[in-house]
Amino acid sequence: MREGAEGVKVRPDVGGQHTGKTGPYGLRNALAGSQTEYHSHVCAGCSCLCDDISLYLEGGRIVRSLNLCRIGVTRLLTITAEKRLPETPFPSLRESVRRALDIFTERGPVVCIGADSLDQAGIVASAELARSLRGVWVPWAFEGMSRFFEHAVRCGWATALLDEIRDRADIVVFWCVDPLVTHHRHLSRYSVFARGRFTERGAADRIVIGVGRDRTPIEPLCGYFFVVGPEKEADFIGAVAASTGARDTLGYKDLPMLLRALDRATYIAVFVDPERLTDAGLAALFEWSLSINRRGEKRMILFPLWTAGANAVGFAQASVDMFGTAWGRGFSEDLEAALRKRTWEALADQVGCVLMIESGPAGPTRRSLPDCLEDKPVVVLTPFKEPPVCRACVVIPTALPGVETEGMFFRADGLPLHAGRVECCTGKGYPRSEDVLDQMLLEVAL
Amino acid sequence: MARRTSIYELYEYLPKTNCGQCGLSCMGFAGYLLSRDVRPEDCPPLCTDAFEEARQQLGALLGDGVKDPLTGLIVDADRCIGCGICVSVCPVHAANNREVSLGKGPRADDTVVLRIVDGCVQLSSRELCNRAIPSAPPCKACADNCPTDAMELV
Amino acid sequence: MSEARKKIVLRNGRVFDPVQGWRGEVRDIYIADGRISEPFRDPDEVIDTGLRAVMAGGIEPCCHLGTPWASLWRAGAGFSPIDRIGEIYARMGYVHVHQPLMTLLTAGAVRYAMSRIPFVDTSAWVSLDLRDLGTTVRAQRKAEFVESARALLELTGGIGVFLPFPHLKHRQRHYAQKNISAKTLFQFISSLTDADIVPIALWALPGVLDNDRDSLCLFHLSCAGAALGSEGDFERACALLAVGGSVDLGLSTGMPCMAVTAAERCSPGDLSVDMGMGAPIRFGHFDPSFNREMCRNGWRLLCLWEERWHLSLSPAGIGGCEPDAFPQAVSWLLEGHGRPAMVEEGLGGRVFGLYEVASLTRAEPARCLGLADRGHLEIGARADVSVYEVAAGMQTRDLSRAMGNCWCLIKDGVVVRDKGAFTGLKPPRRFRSKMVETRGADPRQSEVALNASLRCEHLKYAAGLDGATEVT
Repeated sequence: MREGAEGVKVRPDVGGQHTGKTGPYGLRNALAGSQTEYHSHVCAGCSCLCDDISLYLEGGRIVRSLNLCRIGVTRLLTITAEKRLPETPFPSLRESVRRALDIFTERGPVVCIGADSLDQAGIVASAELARSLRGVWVPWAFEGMSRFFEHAVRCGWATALLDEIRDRADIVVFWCVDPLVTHHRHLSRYSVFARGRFTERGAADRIVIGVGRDRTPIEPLCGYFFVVGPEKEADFIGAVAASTGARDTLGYKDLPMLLRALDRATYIAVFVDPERLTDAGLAALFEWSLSINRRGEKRMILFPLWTAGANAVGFAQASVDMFGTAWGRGFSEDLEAALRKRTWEALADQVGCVLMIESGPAGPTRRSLPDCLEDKPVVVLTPFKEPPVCRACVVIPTALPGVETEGMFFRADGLPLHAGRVECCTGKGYPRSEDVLDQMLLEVAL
Repeated sequence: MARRTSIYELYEYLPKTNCGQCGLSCMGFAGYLLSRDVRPEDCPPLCTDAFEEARQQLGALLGDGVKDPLTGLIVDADRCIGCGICVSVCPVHAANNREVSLGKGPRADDTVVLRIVDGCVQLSSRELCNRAIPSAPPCKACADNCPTDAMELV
Repeated sequence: MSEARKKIVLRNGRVFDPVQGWRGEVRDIYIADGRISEPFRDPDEVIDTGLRAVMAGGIEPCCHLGTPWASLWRAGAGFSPIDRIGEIYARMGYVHVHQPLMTLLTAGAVRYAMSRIPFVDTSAWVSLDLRDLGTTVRAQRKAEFVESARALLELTGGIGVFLPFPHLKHRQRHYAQKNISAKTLFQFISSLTDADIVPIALWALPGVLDNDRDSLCLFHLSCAGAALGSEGDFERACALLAVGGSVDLGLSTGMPCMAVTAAERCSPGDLSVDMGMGAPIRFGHFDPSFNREMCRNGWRLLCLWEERWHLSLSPAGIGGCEPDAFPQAVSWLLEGHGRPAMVEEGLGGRVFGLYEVASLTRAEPARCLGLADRGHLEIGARADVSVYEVAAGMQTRDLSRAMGNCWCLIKDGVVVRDKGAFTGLKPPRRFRSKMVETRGADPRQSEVALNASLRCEHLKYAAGLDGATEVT
């Protein structure tokens, strides 16, 4: 140990530029006397599912993290604050559960939203509860998810593991998605800067292309960036897909250069947020991908980057296994019909109350209820210290999955990872979301 | 990534009288401001009420990051999002740590130049940085690739 | 007493066990502690099979179930979900299902998927990545190659080693110097003697039979149905089997089905996943009407079958995905009347007996997977027993129903089916792995995992997370 500034002992193996300030977790920025260390911890803050996180605990509280991005730090801050959750008028879990079930019974049917931020066991528990309540069970991204996977099943889908993209992609396209906003470490771990087997110079071996409704933070990293409005989207994709020395640049001066780059490319990875694309645009992307892949000379993969829950892929997996579709299920004919319309408004017309589950990104990317559901009574399960952005009737505090409880999550490319539990004192007394849902299920059965 | 400011932009906010109280001309002072070798408070005329707004503007342009004396790295912790791009592009890491160059974060006991601590980049073993070698060409890989302009090398 | 520890006697069965040369003699089978046992006097349960056909539990050598996103495609294409698949296999009297390919990265996904298949044990081969191991092959560093393969087995829990392609060909021209020809690879593989590694399984994709026959004998050829596209392929397959080659094969029933292959090109409706295998894994539709010769050649191969051949049948069919139609296929083996034209052309009037079926679906699959305690009813084997209500003179429709709904199934000593219905009892299920010498934090494991985006700690399978695992 050596003495740092202000008498704080700093471990030599980590080093660090000591700032003299307290760390982000509200406690002194100290490693001295760190009693517990967790290495290769898995962060469930987003679907990157970084597995190289180190956490240092002192006195049962997280005092330092390594390799954790701002999204992950913000998520951990929710459990390290002294006062974690707003007060609830219902002092005990049992009473909160009963009050929630009263709401579900009196004001049903219920729409269960947000299980895609839970671990796999929590997702299954939420599905069982929704089924027993004859409600509807959907992820945050259900509009985009239903459109994307319907296209995938109908047209065919080419995808890849993130490792293969890292190794082979010479063109990376971010279509209406910006990892610098939603998946901070995506660029360095997988898509752009990592040096892969066949992209040994990292970003120098790739051309990054951005397409968005507006200019986004990723623009400076892009070789070409196109602002494409929803009304022009399908035409734009059509022009790119045609790539016959497009005479009509559609007003984009860089379009010919983009086409030349695509022509030379051997492996094109298109990351897309299906929630933000039009139906026509999404269909056009699938058609474009098929037209390239059926020739076999080059490859184009479509990779959905879900921005709501860390375990959107796990939700899709569980939904497919349990119900045959990836985007949830309505447990009555009316609700299933509303689900098929693929809009929140259609669902809102059929449901009477909301069960909202949070445990995903906190901070600026935290999700809020669609406006059409705001006027309904809401039961919230949340580990966050800030109250949810809605008029919640019942707030049930839960443990943070992947930190205070262990669980299995799926990475964006479908690989499962086990996020272990960290023995922090902050977790004591908070039930797992899965346990709350199971208790609700039990009460329903009774 | 482009630097947030330039010597000329800083000069615009100075008195431009070349009074010499700081021991420098105003343009010289602007240069030392840029390299963080002086602070705005080191210019006596700037500390008067007449230049309060200019002082605030200079403060905003320069930020309050502390310059590392060996490498010249300044990190704006408010802008840094912990993306790890700087860690993966560092040529020292590329040459010495295959895992890090593949995109994985360094292990706790790895000897690396940069690492992400509490969501913000920090220098770890600064003596390994190419910029610590006097005869080496000044490397700017980390700052040039920072997507949020959180890093500045002076 | 737990169900698995019960003492059970199956009386009066016509027992077919090729390993012991039993060809339907009436015997009693004794089961204790989940194993075939010496006779005892005090059974807890007696099952009178009434002269029904008895054989070891079936073993599926090639069914693609656990690839990432495969379940989405299956659901979209209207195929059975994964939990129903287990029930289908159990109905057919099967106790073990093997997934032929998993990679270091997808091992977790495969094990997770396999752990959710009810009733049956599972296993998988781990794929060697020649992009990483190619250097050792070119430099002829056999020990290093073997140690890397062992490290992969340890990390992933694979039951054996798999090669998707018998060569390495980089798409990028500037990596051409890293290419490895089939000849080089075969020469290298032929020099390996480590029993944990050889024989290596090789995916029998179209064109693989063009390679040297003696070299192909070094491997087990998996999913060979799709490799029999021409008359030349058929002849080469026969020659391979005649000299002791090992092959597993799915049969076409003439109906469109789902097929798994590795191909750069995609067709509309395909799911194509890049998993680091040299070509993307493609889940697509297989239309027999466009592949008549291929479909017929599978049946022709059976026409020439000899008992000494190392040939296994895969219920998952020519596509490697869907076992539903297998009972129908078995009925056509057992009964010469009522066969469709393609099958009759292929089998040429040959009729099989249950002894041959037991060899093709029990003994040989167990051998090719290295499951020494399965596929037969010797004392000490696992108590996996299937009983079928098959009688002489049955028509194909009844045979199909009988082979698709076994009268009794005992797995690991637990009676899963009795008198043609599920008992409600759940047998223990395991993911079977190969025993390799464990070395703890082996630096070789870190080396093979270096190029993976996940840390080695997260690639290593941990028993218990995805169901029980057991080393063979």
